[in-house]
Amino acid sequence: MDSALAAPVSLVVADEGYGKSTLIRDYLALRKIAHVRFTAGPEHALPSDLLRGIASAFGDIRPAMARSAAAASLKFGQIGAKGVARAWAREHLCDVDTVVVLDDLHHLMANAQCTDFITALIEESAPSVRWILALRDAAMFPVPRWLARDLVALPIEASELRVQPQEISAAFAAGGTLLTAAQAQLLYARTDGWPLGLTIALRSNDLDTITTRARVYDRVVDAALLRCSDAQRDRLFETAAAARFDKAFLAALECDAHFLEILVDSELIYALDGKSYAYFEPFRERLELRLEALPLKRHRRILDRSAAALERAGRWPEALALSVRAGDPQRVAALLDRVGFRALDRGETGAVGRALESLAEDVLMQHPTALGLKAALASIDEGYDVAEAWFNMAIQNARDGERRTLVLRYGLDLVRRGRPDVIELLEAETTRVESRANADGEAALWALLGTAYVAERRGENAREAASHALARLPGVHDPAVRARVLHQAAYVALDAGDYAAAKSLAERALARADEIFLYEVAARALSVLFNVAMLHEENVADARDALLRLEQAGRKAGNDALCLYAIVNAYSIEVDAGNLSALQRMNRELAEMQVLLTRMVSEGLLPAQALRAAWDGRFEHAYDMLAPGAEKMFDDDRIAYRWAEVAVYGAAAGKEPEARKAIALSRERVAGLDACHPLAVRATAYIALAEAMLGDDRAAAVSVAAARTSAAGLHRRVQSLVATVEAFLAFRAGGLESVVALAAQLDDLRRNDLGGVALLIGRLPLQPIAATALAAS
Amino acid sequence: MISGLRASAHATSLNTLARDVRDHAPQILEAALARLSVRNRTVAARILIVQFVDRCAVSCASGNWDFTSAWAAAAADRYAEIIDVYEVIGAALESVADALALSVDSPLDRAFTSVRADLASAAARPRAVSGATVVEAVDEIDIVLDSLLTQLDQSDVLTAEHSRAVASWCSRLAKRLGLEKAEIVHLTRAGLIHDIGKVMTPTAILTAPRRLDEEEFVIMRRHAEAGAEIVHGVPLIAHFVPPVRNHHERFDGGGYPDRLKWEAIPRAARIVAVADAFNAMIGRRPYRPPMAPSLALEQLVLGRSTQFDPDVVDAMIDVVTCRG
Repeated sequence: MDSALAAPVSLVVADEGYGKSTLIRDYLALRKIAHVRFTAGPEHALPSDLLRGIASAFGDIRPAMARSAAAASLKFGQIGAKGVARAWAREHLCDVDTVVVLDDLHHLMANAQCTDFITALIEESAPSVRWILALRDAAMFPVPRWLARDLVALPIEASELRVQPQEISAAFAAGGTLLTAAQAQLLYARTDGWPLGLTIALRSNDLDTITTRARVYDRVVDAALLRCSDAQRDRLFETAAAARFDKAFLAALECDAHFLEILVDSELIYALDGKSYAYFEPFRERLELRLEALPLKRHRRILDRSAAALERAGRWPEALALSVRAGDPQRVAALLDRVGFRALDRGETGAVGRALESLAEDVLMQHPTALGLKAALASIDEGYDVAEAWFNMAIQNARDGERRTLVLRYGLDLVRRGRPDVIELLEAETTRVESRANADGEAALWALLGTAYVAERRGENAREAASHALARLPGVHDPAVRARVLHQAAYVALDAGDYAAAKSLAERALARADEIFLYEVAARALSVLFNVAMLHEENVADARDALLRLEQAGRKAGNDALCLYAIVNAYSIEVDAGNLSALQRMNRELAEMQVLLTRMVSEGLLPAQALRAAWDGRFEHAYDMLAPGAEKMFDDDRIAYRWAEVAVYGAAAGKEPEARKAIALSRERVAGLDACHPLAVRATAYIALAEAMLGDDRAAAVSVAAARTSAAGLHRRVQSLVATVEAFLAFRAGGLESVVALAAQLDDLRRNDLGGVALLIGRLPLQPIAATALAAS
Repeated sequence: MISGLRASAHATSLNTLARDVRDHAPQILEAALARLSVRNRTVAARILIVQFVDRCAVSCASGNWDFTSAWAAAAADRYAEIIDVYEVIGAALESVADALALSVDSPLDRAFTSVRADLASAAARPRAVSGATVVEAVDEIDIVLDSLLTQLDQSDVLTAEHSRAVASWCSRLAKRLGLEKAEIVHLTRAGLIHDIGKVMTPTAILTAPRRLDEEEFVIMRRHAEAGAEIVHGVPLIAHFVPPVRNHHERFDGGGYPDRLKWEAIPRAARIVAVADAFNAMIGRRPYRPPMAPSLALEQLVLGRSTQFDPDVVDAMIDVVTCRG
C-alpha cells in the first residue's frame, strides 16, 4: 500500500471477500492518513446519484460539493459524464489535499457513464488528491493509460491479498488448533487463500464449513437469521434495505437492545466511522434476495418501515427510492408531499424525478404538491411552459396548507420570465387567510411580490411589499427563505435608488446564502452588489469582484442564465476599460455560448459590442445595434443613456438627422431624471460629444457645463469622462495645447477604467467633424 | 514645404533646431494628416502626430533618437487597436524630414533612417495583446429579429410569448437531434419569428376568446405566407423563409400553404412544426386552459408520421420526458 500510494491512483483489485475494504481501512488507520471514503452501492448506479454520493462523502472537507451536486447532476444530459466531472473537479478538487477511497466500485460497472465520470474526476483533480480504488475488475478503468501517464502503480491484486498456507496454520495455532501441513494446504486449496473463508473456518473451527464462497455467504446470513426473533428478522431486512444505519436509525425502527449485538457478532456489518454501520455487500445482497422472496404484504411493510426511518433521518432520496420499491403509489405521493420540495431544494432532482415517474397521472392529480414538484422539475430543466401547465393544475387542486408553497414556486418562475400576470396571482394570495398562518410563507410572498412590482415599474408598491416582507423577517425560521427575502428586498431597494439599503440587504442575503450554500440566491445578491458598485459607487474593482463571484456561484448553482449575466456584464466592463487581454479571454467564452437577445443581453452586451465596433470605426454598425432597442431599456436612466450613445455613433457615422433625433430623445429622458444620477451625467456628456461632432458647439458647451455641475459630487470616473468631453470640445477648436490636454484626459480615462471610451474618442474621425463644423459656421 | 524650418535645418545649434521644429508643429501636423489614409485621419492620429513632433524636437536637442523609437512602441500599445500607429508615426516622421530637407547621409538623415528602421521592425512584430478577434454574440440578425418580435408583442402578447417558447423548444430539439451549433442557432431564431405573419392578422381574430370559425381560420392561415413575405423583404433574414412559410405543412402532405410532403418539407420547418404544436397545446390560450404536457405528447404521438416528422416527435418526447 505504501508503494501503491506513491502514485496518484492506487488500485486494489480482487474478488469479493478478499478483504479489500479491510486492507484499505486498516492501512489508513495504521498510517493515520486522513481520508474521504465513499462506498458505492446499487443506489449509485446512475451518474447523478454517484456524483451526489461522492459529494456527500466529502462532507465537512468540501461542504460546497454537496450543495452543488444537484446543479451539476442536471448537466449530465448536456455535457456528458466527462464534462460534468471535469467541471466539478476544477471547481472542487483543484485545491484539496487528501486521500479519497472509492470502495465497492463494482456496483458501477454496468453504467459506462459512471466509470467515465470517475475516470475524468481522477484525471482532472489536483495532484494533491490521492485516489484508492477498491474494485473487483480493473477493466472498467483505463489502467494502461494511467500506467503510461504514471498515474498508477501496478494494482494490488488477489494474489497479494491471499492468505498463504503457513498463515492459515499460524492463525489456527493462535486459536489453539494445530493444523497439519496437509490440512493447511487443503484449506488453502478450498479457499484459494480467501480471507473471509478462513475467518469463517476459524470461527467454526470446522474445515468442512468451507465449500464454495456462495455457500459460505449463505451460511453466514442464515446463521444470523436463525439467531433472530421474528421481529428482529424484520429489523434485519429493514436495516439491510437501508444499507447503512446508526443508533438513531435503529431507535426509529424500535430495534431491541440485542439487535446490534447480533449484527456485530454475525459479522454481517462493519463500523463506518464509529457512529454508523454498513452491511458487507455480499451479505446485504443475500438479505435483499430473501426480502424479495417474502410475501408481498410483509415485504411492503418492511420497505415502508425502512423508508419511514430513512425519512426521519433526513435521507429523503433513499426513503423515496424504497417507497417506490414498496410499490404503493399513494405512499410515494404522500412522501413526496412531505419531503419533495425540501429534497428538491437540496438538489435531489434524480430521486424526486424517479418517484414522480412511478406515479400514474390519476395519482398525481390527487396530490397537488407532487404535481407542483413535477412543475418545479420542468422549470429546472427550463421547460417553463410545461412547468406552467403543471403548476396551474397543482394550484387548482391544492388544499389549504399546500397552496402557498405552490403559488410561491410558480410565482418565482413567472417573475423570472417577466410575466406581468404574476402580480394578480400573488396579490390574490396575500388576501388568503392561509397567508397569515406562517411567517415564512408570508415573508416570502411579500418579498416576491415586491420584485414583481419592480418588473412592472410600480416602485411604490414594490417598496411597500418589501417593507411587509422585512417586517416579518424576525419570525422566519427557514434560513433559505430568510436569504431569499433579504435578496428580494435588496433588489427592490436598488430599483428605488436606495443604494445604501440595497448594499446592506444584499450583503446580508449573501452571508445567509453562503452559510447554507444557496448558490442561486448568493448569485442574485451579488448581482445587486455589482449594480451598486457600478451604478452608484462607480467602483470598477468591486464590480469586477462581484461579477467573478457571481459567475462562480452561478456555475455552482448550475444556472446558465446567471453565468451569462456575469459574463455579459464583465464583458461590458472590460470593453469600457479597453482591457484587451480580458476581452481576448471573454471572446472565447462568448463564442461558445448561444446568446439570445434578451433584455439583459440588450442592456449589457449590445452597448459593449457597439463600443467595440466603434474602435474599428464601424460607427454605423454600432448605431444599428443600439438604435432599434433604445426605447426598450428597463428604465428612463438607461433609455436616456442609450439614446446618448446612439447619438454619438450616429454623429460619428455621418447620420446627422438620426443623431439629432437621438439627442432629442435622450434629452427628453434626462429631463425627467435626477440630474446627479451617474447615468444622467454620462448621458449628458455623451450628448455634448455628439453635439460637438455635429458642429453644435454652443449646445455642446451648454451640455458639458451642465454635466460638469452635476458631476461635482460624483465619483472620479464620471468626472473624468466629463472632463474628457470638455477637452474634446477644446481640441476641436484647435491649438496644440488642446491636443496635449486631450491626450492627458484620455490617459486619465484609462486610469479610471474607461480606456475603451478613450479608444472611441481616439477613433472619432477628424474629417466629418471639420466639415460639419464648417457648415455650421 | 515649410520654408522657415528648412532654414533651421542648417542651423548650427541643436537647441535652435528643436525649438524650430516645435514652432512649426502646426504645419507639420497638417502635412502629416494629409499623408494619411482616410481611415487613419482620426483624433488619435492628431494626438500622435503632435506628440511625435514634440519627441522629435527632444531628440533633435539631445541627439538621442532611441527615445523617440521607444516612445513610438509605447504609443503603438495604446492606439494600435484603433488605427495603424506606424502609418501615422511614419507620416509624421516623413513630414518632419521633408520640412528639414535633410542632406543625404547627414547625421540627422542617418538618425531618421535609423528611426525608420526601428519603426518598420516594430510594425512587423506581432502584438502581445490584441482584441482583434471580434466576437459578436448578438449580431444584426438578432437585432432585426428582436424588432420583428417587438411588433408581434404589440399585436398580441400571447403570440410573442408563444414564439419565445417555441424558440426555446426548437433549440432543445435541435440539440437532441445532434445538429451543429450553427443549425441550432438558425432553428432557435426560426422559432422566434415563425409566427411573424400574425402581425398581419386582425387582432380580433388573434385574441378571440373562443375557437375560430371557418372564415376566421382561413384568415388566420394566411399568416404563414404573410410571414414569409415579411421575412423575404429583409435581405438579412431572408434565409428564414422556409421555416416561416412551411411550419404548417403536414408530413403526409395535407398541410398549408404549399402542401409539401415528407422530406420535401424543409427540415427546419418540420422541427418548428413540432415545437409549435406542442407549445400551442400546453400554452395559455384565451379560449381554453393549458393541456397537460403528457396529453400534449400523446397528441404528438397520434400525429407521428401523418402530421409530424416521426424523428422530430421522438426527439420531442425525449426532450420533454428525459432528465439528463
